[in-house]
Amino acid sequence: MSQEWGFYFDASRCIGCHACSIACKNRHGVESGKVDWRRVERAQKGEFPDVQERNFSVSCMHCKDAPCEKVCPADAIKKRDSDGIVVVDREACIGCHYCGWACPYGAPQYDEKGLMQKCNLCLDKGPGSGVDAPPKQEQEDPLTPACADECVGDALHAGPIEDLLDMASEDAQNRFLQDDQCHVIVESAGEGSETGNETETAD
Amino acid sequence: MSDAERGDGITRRSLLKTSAAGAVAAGLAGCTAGANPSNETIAGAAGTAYGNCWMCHKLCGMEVTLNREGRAQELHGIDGHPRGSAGEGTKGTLCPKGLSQLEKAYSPQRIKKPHVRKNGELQAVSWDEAFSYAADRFEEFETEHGVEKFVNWEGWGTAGGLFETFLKDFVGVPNHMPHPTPTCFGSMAVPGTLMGLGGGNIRWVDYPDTEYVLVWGRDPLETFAGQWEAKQLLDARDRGATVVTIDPVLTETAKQSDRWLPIKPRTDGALALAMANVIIEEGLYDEAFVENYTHGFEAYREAVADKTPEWAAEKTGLDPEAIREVAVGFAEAAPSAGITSWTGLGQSPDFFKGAQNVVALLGLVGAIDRPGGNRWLGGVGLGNPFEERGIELPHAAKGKKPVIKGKGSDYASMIGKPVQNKIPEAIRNGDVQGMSFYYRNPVPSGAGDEWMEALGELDFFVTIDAFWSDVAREADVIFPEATQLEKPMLGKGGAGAYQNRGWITGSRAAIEPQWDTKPGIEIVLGLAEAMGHGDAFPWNDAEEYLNDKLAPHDLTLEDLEKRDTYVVAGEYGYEKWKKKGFANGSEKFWFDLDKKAKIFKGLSKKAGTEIRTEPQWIEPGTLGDAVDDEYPLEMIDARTVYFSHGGDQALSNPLEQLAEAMNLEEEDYRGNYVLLNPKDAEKRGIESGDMVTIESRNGSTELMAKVTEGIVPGTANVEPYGFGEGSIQPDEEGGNNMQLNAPDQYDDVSGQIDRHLGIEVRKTGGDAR
Repeated sequence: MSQEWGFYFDASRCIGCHACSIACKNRHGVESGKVDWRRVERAQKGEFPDVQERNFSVSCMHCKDAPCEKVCPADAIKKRDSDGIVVVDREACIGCHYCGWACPYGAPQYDEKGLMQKCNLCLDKGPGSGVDAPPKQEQEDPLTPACADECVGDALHAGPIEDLLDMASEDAQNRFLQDDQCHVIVESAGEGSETGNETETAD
Repeated sequence: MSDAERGDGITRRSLLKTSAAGAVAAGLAGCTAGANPSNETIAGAAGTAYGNCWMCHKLCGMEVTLNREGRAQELHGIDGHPRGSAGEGTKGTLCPKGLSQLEKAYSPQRIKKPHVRKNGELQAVSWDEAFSYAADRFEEFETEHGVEKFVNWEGWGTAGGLFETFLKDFVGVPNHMPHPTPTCFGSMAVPGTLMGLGGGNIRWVDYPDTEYVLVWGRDPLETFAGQWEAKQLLDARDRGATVVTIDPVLTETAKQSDRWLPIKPRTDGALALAMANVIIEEGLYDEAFVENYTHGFEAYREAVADKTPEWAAEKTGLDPEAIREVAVGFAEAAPSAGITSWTGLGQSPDFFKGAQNVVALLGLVGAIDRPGGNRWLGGVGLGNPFEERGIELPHAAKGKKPVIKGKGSDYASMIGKPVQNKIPEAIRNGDVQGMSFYYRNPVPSGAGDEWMEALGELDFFVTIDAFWSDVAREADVIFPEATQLEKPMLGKGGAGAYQNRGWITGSRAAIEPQWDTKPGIEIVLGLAEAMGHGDAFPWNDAEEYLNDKLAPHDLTLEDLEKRDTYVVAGEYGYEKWKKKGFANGSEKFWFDLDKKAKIFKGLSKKAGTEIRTEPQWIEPGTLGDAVDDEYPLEMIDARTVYFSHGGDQALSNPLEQLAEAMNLEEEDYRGNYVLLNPKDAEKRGIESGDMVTIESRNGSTELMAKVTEGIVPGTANVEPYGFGEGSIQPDEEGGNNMQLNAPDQYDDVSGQIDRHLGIEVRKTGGDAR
């Protein structure tokens, strides 16, 4: 696992600006519209004035045991042993959308041709690119994923999992290690966290 | 100046870029054959250029990746940049708008050629013809009307200073409308200056040393003045500083704060008085500062004596205990405590008093220009290119009386500032017959309907812009300006990541001007030549002109690029008021504005009740618009990161992201939104995604509703402003909420346009009332 790459996300520093989404589109030549390799979700809970809202930047989680890979009848999706990145071979993709149904995170996206495209952790630029790219750790100057490179709040990082674990809290490390699917280290930012805000009004 | 501390100018980022083009390419070439032109392999990245982002005019440094054809492919921030990073050794980024400059530069919706009006119709012409047409029309205008009837109006043009210099000193135009007032935060800026803080200084908290921040009517995690602010605020919080957001809306900053105080709009003045009551009562104020450096403390103390947290709770809707805790926390942290505020307390006549009450707190706890408090910025100067070349300005406007400002003008505020909302009247009266707009559009800023009508009555109208709008289409001459990536940039500061240090940042053009456009500076050079002033404008291009500004520092734009676009220079300390006095020109900070009693006499007359010179509570509607049974919701508005403005059209990527942020991306709508609390929405049968009409006593517009728990009931937040009729959005989608503003709704002191209006909201086509 030490060679595997992934993402680290700290919701307490995500300002919901979507720079990640647009940096991703710029890099991969994906125009504005329904195809989003990376998106920012907002989760609101409670009622005014006791209301909380958090932002979550979401893309392909590069799952440890990727459900999209398992359901793909064309063998077009691969979880790479070398660097843990889940890639799609668009030459093999038949556009059946099984991967879209199987993925719990909404990561697979479909263009006008109906073919799948999604985050490749910036192995290379463009839909379907990087299938045959050398492992991230063997590249001399691997591309830093554009989303992490332009994250204004410094909430999103990408790199070898072992480096990312170093910056994570113990809770986040444990969650990551115990989760047999999600390959993203997520810093806690829910209720009871240090930065969960309190609201103050007269009743 | 002390030189840049950067030596060879090579950074991790620039190293990475140059090596990436070679080394990695070998391994990856060919992997993405057939990708679109803006999406080449790493092998296709042929070079790096630089830029300084101008999407919100804050100059965040950029690296631009170019392909072999010289087309910009990717944009990246620059580490350590004073506006785009948290400071030395920290990562630089670009926000979503900055990243959208790729789309802006190549947008087919740009104005692609100069245009002039012939026989009533706009026609595309060459630059030479446009310049000579404009020169003839200026000459005719002067003969027929006199230059006193011409008004130049600038937003955030990149040749702002030079265009004004040309029109003022060579053509003789005496009327110039500055940017900040009357459309930005006049109701906060003017009392802030009169008291001695300085109008703009209410924004700048010394984040690296602060222990307590009141984010009061501002959203610095979203509407930052450069990304350094968002980064440093988050860093301060993570380091243990307390962040409290006071806002009717659960803003991005409120979401990430230790505490959100969801205050009823326009009741901030009551909260500030109650905080002062607690601070004085508990003896937590800065006695030495108050004693030695302030005026009017006794009047202030008396004014807040009965303004308890319980009293304020009733006005503000907040918990009295929370008010007490925040007051004590803020005062105990002071002087390492600051307030960052802006348009949230700057856009209603009622805030003239509300802002006074808030600014007074900084004097009370002595948090002015001290480590961790509100900063007074210093910086570094640039040269004057005319002086560099030994050119004397003819000062042609000298002795010419401006129509729109100063004492005796029918169109100026109490303190002589131009009132934008009164210009349509000036046009109707024939006092203004010609105008130039440079990246400025008054229609989404106030009295929208009246402006649209008035523009058609102008005899001569020139505009410089990058995108078409209904305003541009009214012009007689349209000069299309190149966008940021296509022109050289230079700026200095000031506000930025470096504590007590100034900086200069600049870059050359990264790509050629697209279509038949020019940088603003070169538009001025061409116009000057056509009007017979060529000798006084000897520069061949924009870069040469800007390099003259850098001459005193022995630098060029090319040198700056070698230093990652910036140098840090010019050191300044704290407590500058000790030697230089305060921004009111006095040696003391004034709690009580009794030395400006005339203003308050005028306000009292207008309000029909006494508006006092010391801090005082006035009910919302005393000076501004009232919320009543007929118009029961208070409209406020916000400038989000995706906002649209003259020259800053919201592009398709940011519009898409805005829709996603509202969770309304599935709707076939890419305009702005009005945020409503479920309590208000349910009463009117409104759900998220419904088209609604918002209506004031003066006018109405239509836009999409977003229902959220994150807003104080009774409040309707238009987010962001700048859309709809007359805006620069190509299809005018969304609502222009300043069609609801009447020409007489502005702050009489500053001229600031009133954006807090009583409104009703109904589902379009329905009968909610």
